[in-house]
Amino acid sequence: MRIFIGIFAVLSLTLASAQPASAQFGGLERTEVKDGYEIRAGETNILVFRPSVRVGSQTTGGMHEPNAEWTETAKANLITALAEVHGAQGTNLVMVPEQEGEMADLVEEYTALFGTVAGAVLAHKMTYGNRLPTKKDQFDWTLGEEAARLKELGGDYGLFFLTYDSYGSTGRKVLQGLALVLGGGFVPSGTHIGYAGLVDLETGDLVWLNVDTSMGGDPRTVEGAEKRVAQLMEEFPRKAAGEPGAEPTGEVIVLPPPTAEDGTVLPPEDEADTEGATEEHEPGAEDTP
Amino acid sequence: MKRLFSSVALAALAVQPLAAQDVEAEEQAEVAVEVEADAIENSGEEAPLPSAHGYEPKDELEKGLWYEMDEAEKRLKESRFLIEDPALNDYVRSVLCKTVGDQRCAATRLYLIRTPQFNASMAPNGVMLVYSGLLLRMRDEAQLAAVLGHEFTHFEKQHSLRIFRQIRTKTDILSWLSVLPVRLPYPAGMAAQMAVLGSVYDFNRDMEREADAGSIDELMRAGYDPRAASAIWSQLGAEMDATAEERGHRSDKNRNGGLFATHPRSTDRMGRLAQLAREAAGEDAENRYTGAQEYRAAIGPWWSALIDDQIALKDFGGTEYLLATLAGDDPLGWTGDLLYARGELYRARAEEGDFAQAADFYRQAIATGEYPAESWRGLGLSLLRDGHKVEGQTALRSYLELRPDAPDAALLASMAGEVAS
Amino acid sequence: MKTLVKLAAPLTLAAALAPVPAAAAWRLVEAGDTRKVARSDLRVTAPEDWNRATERPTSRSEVWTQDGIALSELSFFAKIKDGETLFKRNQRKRNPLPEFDKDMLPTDLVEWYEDTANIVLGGSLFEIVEVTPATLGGHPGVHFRYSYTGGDNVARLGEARAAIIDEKLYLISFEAPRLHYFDRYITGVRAMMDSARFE
Repeated sequence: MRIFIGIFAVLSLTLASAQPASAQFGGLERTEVKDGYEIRAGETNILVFRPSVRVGSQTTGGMHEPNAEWTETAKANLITALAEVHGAQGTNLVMVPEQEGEMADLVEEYTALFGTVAGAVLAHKMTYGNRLPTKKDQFDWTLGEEAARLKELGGDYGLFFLTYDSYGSTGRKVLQGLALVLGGGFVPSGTHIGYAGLVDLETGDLVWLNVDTSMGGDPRTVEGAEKRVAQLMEEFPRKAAGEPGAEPTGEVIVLPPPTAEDGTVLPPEDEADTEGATEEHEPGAEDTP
Repeated sequence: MKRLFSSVALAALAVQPLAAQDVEAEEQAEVAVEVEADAIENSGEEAPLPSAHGYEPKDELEKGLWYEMDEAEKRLKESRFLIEDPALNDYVRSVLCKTVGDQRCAATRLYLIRTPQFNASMAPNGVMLVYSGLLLRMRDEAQLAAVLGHEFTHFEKQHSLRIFRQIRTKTDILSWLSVLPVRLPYPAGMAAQMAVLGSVYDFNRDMEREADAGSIDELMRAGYDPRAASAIWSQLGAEMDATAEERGHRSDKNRNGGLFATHPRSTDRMGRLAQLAREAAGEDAENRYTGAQEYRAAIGPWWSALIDDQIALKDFGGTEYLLATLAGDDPLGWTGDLLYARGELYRARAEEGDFAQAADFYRQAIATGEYPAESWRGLGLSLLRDGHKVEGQTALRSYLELRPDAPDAALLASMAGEVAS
Repeated sequence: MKTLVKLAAPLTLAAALAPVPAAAAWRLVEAGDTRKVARSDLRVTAPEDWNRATERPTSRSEVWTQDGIALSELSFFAKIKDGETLFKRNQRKRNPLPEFDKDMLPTDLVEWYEDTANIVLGGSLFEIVEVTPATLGGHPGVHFRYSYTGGDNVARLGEARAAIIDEKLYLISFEAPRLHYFDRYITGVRAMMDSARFE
């Protein structure tokens, strides 16, 4: 009886496919990378955007109780795991906090567009027999050059996520940050589909996309979170070799929100500095479940 | 089927929507919830109310609910269906604060949603949703205050939390945000609205009584006429009957039947509210504040948009009734706005004789001297469809003089027989 | 009651059509090619390469795309008769689409399209932006621009050209996300609408 319109629409993985994606893509996992693409050398910041959420409509009410603590734990674990992966190749992850005003609208609109573009890639590139002749030989999808406007947030790349979680028992998490991206898997039944994609903000081009329709790993545990992140980051573009010498170490940067209002997205012990200064942490510093 | 219905009905109890459908008795047996007062509610005066300053959720369950609600609220802020007009938001908020007092009002965050449903709801964390379809249907400030007071009582008494505890079922937080957006045409709109009314709402009688009584108390405290509360239900019931009657002429596409055709509990409720109002204010009710003019002034700038949304529902019977009642209590009766809306309603139906009827309403609207310029457009198009080419073109030209920048000005100009500039 | 559960918003107007199957075969339309569309005598010339779906959404329509329907969708409708609807949906009777009426004025066509869109999209803040007189294949008609947000929360822009010819409706529509995609293709699409011919 729930009708999700506009605000929460069912994600149609293929054009207008009314079937739950899981029915068609049980366990599908595919990755597309732009031919020979490498992350630019030098100090590189990857903006991590709060995910776009899609939920399926429920069938029957099952047993589930929202649990704030699990959520926080999962989030911390996932950030730590991500930091390790990126630290290994020397890219910084910048967690983009909730924006206000015009920038909020822009982020929202690009996040939504990413979801639609990812869906098109899945439908027309990853689904054989549905390929488009004009895109036969290349991985050629974009958010458009205007996406460069997002660089103002302090990064050269955008890491976008989309999740589609549909639970037989309707237990859905609307979490901020990464726990949502990878998370919500606290209920055994249902579908958990994740897209992760990297956009080069110089051009707006999608350079890497990973689609996973059955993510494993329970992010409430450190191992589970690592498993999920490893799954999600498969075939992530390597970084081009830089000049010898200063090899940057990857770290997670958590920016304070533009306005220190309520509903802050920072981990609790994060003391936001003034003037939007970036607070830098050792990887995993905010992992105190 | 019943099983589905009941589980869904329970699934949405995290919030307190206002409008309800009475379920059949047997279904009710399935969904009825016995609320046993537990420690928290029972402690009455000693325990802080959620409306108190600095209130924090107490146990795991409440924390979890709040957490999800807070997250849902973030999504809500991004919704394209929010009405962000500061003036309208300020007005509705001022009515709420006047009704429950500034201090308790501080615990709430109000959002106006553009959707033609009659509804309002409130979440355990203090988020209140008011739908534009409700604003269209209220006649005065006292009626709005009655609704807001009712919802606030549910919130303050933690009804949803109590039910949630009892049922131990997952509440679909997101459903609370899944409103029907604007301009969803009838019958989809009506059918869906039925579903919303029918499924979301099943507080048990005690809670409903508590909220109804609470709203009367708030009205009294704030100086409003307490009779507003029962008036809302009689208006809504009559509108639903009109909708059902019109639908009866069609092949019955709607399996939900008339919503208010059998609503003993709503009748019952109306009577009880009227009774409460009499007890509270007695003869003095006449002299208490209703704020009809203030209300109209506040809604004024939005009125035509709300009417458009309603007409787009293609709910001829319900809309016709709504227009008539909006006119009925107004000393000026049919205003230019209402007559124009009626013309649009008939022109959209486009059945035998409707164009002539529509033209007539547009002419009446124009005759009032205070009318939307679009009346000329509607008149011109109705006349053209009815075969009166010359008069139709003349009316379109009158429209273009008033609205040279209309989105379809160039096309209308060509239809009016002018060379498009 | 139960059917309502399935009422989820489609992403785009095209989603209203009996969906193009996930494994539809797409054929190349090369720049400069002239093709008959929607099994009618209406011919258009493609100014750049397009992909055309070999599966027709309905017997009276045809869909082309550049990047996938949700990102760029060019639809052709032809010979829609009095009493027929724009899309054929094997949908519940509960929610019928409005019928085309041969006596419609050009303004009615636009309102009819808007009503159709509102039903199909399940309410979407669909808005008509501008309406101008235009011709299609040499016949007088209407050109209109619109905007809406689909079920994927992506804001889209659209343009359509329509005319009633011999009591039948012909309509070409294009829609794409407001960001990047619409501007990228609209010039070529307008050229196609302008160059449409009956032969």
